[in-house]
Formats: sequence, structure tokens, C-alpha cells
Amino acid sequence: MIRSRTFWALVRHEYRMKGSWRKSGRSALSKWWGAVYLTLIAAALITATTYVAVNGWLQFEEMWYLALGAPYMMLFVGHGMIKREWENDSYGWWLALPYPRTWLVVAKWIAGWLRVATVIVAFAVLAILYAVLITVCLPHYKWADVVRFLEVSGDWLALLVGVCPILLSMGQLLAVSAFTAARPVSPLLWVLFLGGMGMLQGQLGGWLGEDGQLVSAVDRIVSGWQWIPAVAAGWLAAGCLAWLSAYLIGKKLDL
Amino acid sequence: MTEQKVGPLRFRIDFSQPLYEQILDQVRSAIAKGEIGLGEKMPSVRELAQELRMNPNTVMRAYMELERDGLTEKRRGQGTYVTASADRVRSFRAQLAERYIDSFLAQMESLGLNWEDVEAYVRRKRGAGEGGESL
Amino acid sequence: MTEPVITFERVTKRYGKKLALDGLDVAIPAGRIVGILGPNGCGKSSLFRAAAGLIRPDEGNVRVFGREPGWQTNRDIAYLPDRARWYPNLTVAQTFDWGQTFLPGFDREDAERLAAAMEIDPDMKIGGMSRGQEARALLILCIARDVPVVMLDEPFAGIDVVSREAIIAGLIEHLEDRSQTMLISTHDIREVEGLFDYTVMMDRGRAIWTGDTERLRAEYGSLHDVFRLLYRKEWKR
Repeated sequence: MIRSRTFWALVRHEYRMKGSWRKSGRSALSKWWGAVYLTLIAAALITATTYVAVNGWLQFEEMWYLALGAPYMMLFVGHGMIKREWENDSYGWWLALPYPRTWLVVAKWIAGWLRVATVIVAFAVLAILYAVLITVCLPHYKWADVVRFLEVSGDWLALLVGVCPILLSMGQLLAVSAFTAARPVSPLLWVLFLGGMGMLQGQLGGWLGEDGQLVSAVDRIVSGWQWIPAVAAGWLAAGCLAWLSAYLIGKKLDL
Repeated sequence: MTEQKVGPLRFRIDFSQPLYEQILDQVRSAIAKGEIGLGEKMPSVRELAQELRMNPNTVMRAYMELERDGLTEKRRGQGTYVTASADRVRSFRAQLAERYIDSFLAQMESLGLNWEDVEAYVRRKRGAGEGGESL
Repeated sequence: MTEPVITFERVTKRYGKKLALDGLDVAIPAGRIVGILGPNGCGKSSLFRAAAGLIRPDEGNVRVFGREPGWQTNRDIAYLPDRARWYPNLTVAQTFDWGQTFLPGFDREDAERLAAAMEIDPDMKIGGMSRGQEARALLILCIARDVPVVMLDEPFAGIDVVSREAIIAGLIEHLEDRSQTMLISTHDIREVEGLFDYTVMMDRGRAIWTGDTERLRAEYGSLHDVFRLLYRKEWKR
């Protein structure tokens, strides 16, 4: 049964899993309200953006500012993929699976990556469609703006793809540490990771060039020679953290 | 200790005593008493285990002992049946009666009574019907 | 005399100051239905978790099939964790799919037969079921497997009477014609006295009596009586 097919089946299972028994008690009514609120927020955002666009102040690239929250989302997803086994009281089943601990951690990681990718790609597609729509409808937007937007989107996507692995692994480690002998270190890890992220985002300011534009900063980061090694380092670090998480759930569980 | 009926057999299981012996003894006396007839089908191991809420292995061991006794026989594909041999049951009944009597006499002895006392009492009982003089 | 299938040698496990297992010495014989009995907090769940390789002992050693427990030995063990729930968005049929994919020895036909016998609707979502129905479905996930060892940690806890009966009936049916080692822990002896042919009585992290259940009966009386005798303090609370 130790075949790669089983591993990918595990990834599929993790990707499709949703909710926990604790949360499934929520009635259809509260779910309806949740959908209403989300729709209202989305509508508000779109209205505001459109208003700005109509007045000619919008630069399409600015829509990507929303992506500044993405790293936190990635951390959250990585954390949630592990935590929900405990929330759902199914951690016993998960941990007793007769497969290597690395499979367990990496399968959740991949499923998390797919979820994050789905959200980000969906956002990108919607944003591009929106930009095209605006350009078609409003006179002061040119196709050149759309093309530029596509380039910038490419930059942002590259940046997010680069930071995603390490963030997912960090999130996983944060969740794992709470249930293992590393528990006392857990608050420290939170401070370290969140603080580190905050600092790095501050560093982003250091990349702002003469034009003070975040956009060109992103472009500079992604096009610079340090980018590829940085991404590689990110993958390596992600791998190390994943290995650490696997080690902790294999040998150091504190149930 | 409630009585449980499994087919023609009745069981009274006391969980404070070893179970295997109880099943064995109770089935044996049911056969000896004729509560389950010659050649009649016995409840399956599964049925008995389910009704008595017992480990099927315990029931299985008792059934195997019964086959060794010659009191039951397994017919392939059909289950376990009480032996059709009346002789076998009769001789077993005699053995059982002997055991009961021996045990009774041992009890009387422990009360300090001898055979004459017992015999006298039994005769009186048979003669007087109900309400015979007590020892 | 066959080798014991699971052994604990002077196993100790601490959680901070609390001793979950305190020099536990147990050898589980193969092919028996073993009752792991004791009041809440006596270490039953820790015994199971150690045998499933989920926790590592601080002292002593645990051996399963002669090896150290871990995910490799879990291929041959069906483990029902204590108070475990299932993924609510899966239906019973999808749960059995999961079993087929991930649990070695899972027999889909057997599972479906058991589901019918226990009145579990295969198209129903686990999230929409009562606790008792969920417990039955999860039990099936364990016993519809052709593995040498089955460990059920408190399969009756918090389960309604009807489900309890269904589970007992399902277990008895499953046990016939099988030489499988089954460990069942419970703190409630009602109705399951007759199931165990080997008993391990635990208290405060150690085994206070192990052996054939019939011998325990001959020495002390029914398991029910033994509970009252040995766990007197439990009742006083």
C-alpha cells in the first residue's frame, strides 16, 4: 500500500475536507448570513474601486494591494490544515494512518498550497476581467493599462508563489508545536514568525525606488538576481520546517 | 441472573462463575432432561453467542466438548444436532443423576446426617405426600 | 505457547507531574478478546496510544509484533481512538472509500454488510448523524478489516443503548471464525462481561490484575463485582 497513488489520494482527501463536527452545528440560517456579509463586503469593495476608476484615479496595479494580506492568509491556511484535525477530534485517525509522518505533513501542505493557489488565481482572473471591463466601459483607460496590469500581476503572482511554501510550513509548524513536546516554545514561535513577517514587509519599503511605488518595488524584487536563490532558499526552509513538523508528530506527540 | 431462552434451551448465566462450565452444564442437563429432543437442531454458535452476549469462542469450546461427550453431532453444512441415540442420552442422564445424588449425599454428610436418616426422611416424604415430617 | 502480540515492559509516561502510565507491565496474548478495564483516568487510553505508536514512553519499552510501535506496525492494527469523531462532510459510502484507499486489509463488502446490519444509511453524511450512528460507522471502519489486531478504545462511551446493542451484536458476529486479537477498553462493564476471555485491570497507570477472565471469575466473582471491589474509591466520589 506504500505507493505514490495512495499519497496523492491523501492529498485529494485533504483538499476536499471541510469543516469540523464542532462547527457543523451552525444552522443554515447563520451560513446564509455569512454569505450575505461576504457579498456585501465584496460589493462594497467593487463599488469603491469602480468609483475610484470612474474618477480616473485608479491604477489597475493598485488592486494588488489586497495581496499584502496574502502572507497572513497562507500562514493561516497552513495552520488550519493541521489544527482542524484537533478541532474535529479526528487527530487519532489521522495520526494512526500507516504512512510516514512526512506524507501526512506534506499532503496537507500540498492541499493547502492548492487552496491558496485557487484563491489567488481566482482573484487574479477576476481582477483582470474587471480591468478589461473598466477599459471597455470607461474612456480614459487604454489597453496599454491592461497590458501593464498583466505584467504587474505576473510579478505579484511570482512573489506570492515564492513566499507561499515557507509560509505554509511555518503555519503547519505553529499548529504542530501546540500538540507536541515543543508546546512551551509555541508562543515564542508565533512571535518569531509573525514578527519576522512584519519586519520583512517593512523591508519591502526598502525596495521602494525613486518613484516610491510598491509596484515597481515588487517588480524589482522579482526581477533581481537574488530572486531565484531566495525562492530556492524559501523552498529549502519550507522543507526543513516540514521535516521538523513530521519529526514532532512522529516522536514528540503530547496527547 | 435472568433466564434467557435460545430456541428450546433455557439458560441462567451467573457472571460470577466461570461461563464455559455453565454453558456446558446447562446444555447437558437440557439434553438429559429432554428439554431438547433427540435429533433436534441446536442453536448455532452465533445464535447462542448473540443471545447470551458472549464471546463466540467460549460457546464454541462448549460445543466441541459436547461433541466429545457424544451428546451432539455436527452435520456438515447444517449445524449441530442433538444425538439421535437415545441410549447415549440415557447413559448420560444416569451419569448426571449419579453426580447429583453424590453431591446431595455429600451435603447431607456435611450436615451430620447418615444414610439411614436420609432414607427414613425420603420414605416419609413419599408416604405422606405433602407436609411430611421434617428431619 | 505463542508469543504475546503486544508487550509493555515497565512503561512509564508522564505528562508534567501526572503519571499516565506508571511502570506498566502487560503481555497481551494473541487471538484473545482482551478487556482493558478500569475507571476513567487509569491509563487505558495511554496504553492504546502507546501501542499505536502515537505516544512514546518516557521509560520502559512497548513492543507490537516484536517491534517498536509506529506507522509501520499500524498497517496491521485497526485502531478506534478514544472519543474520536469523523469528518462531517463525508457520507458513509465516502468513508468506506477512504477505508479502502488508506486502511490495509479493508473489506468493502464486509463493511457494507455490517452497515446494513447496523442500519447505517450509506448515503447519509456523518455530520447529519447522531453520535450513536457515527460510532457504529466508525466501528465498522475498524472491524471490516482483515488485520491481526483490533484496538477499540472506549467504543461504548457516550453511546445510546440501541447503538450499544448494535455494536455488541456486530462485534460478536465479527468475532466468529476469526483468530484475531481484539483489545476493548471500557469503564462500564454492563452487558459486555461475557465478551472478554482475557482481562487486564488497570488502576493509576499500572495493571493490577491480568489473566484469563474465567480465572478472575473463579477468584473474585463477576467483573462487575471485581470493579466494585477493586475500585471502591471510585464509587465513593
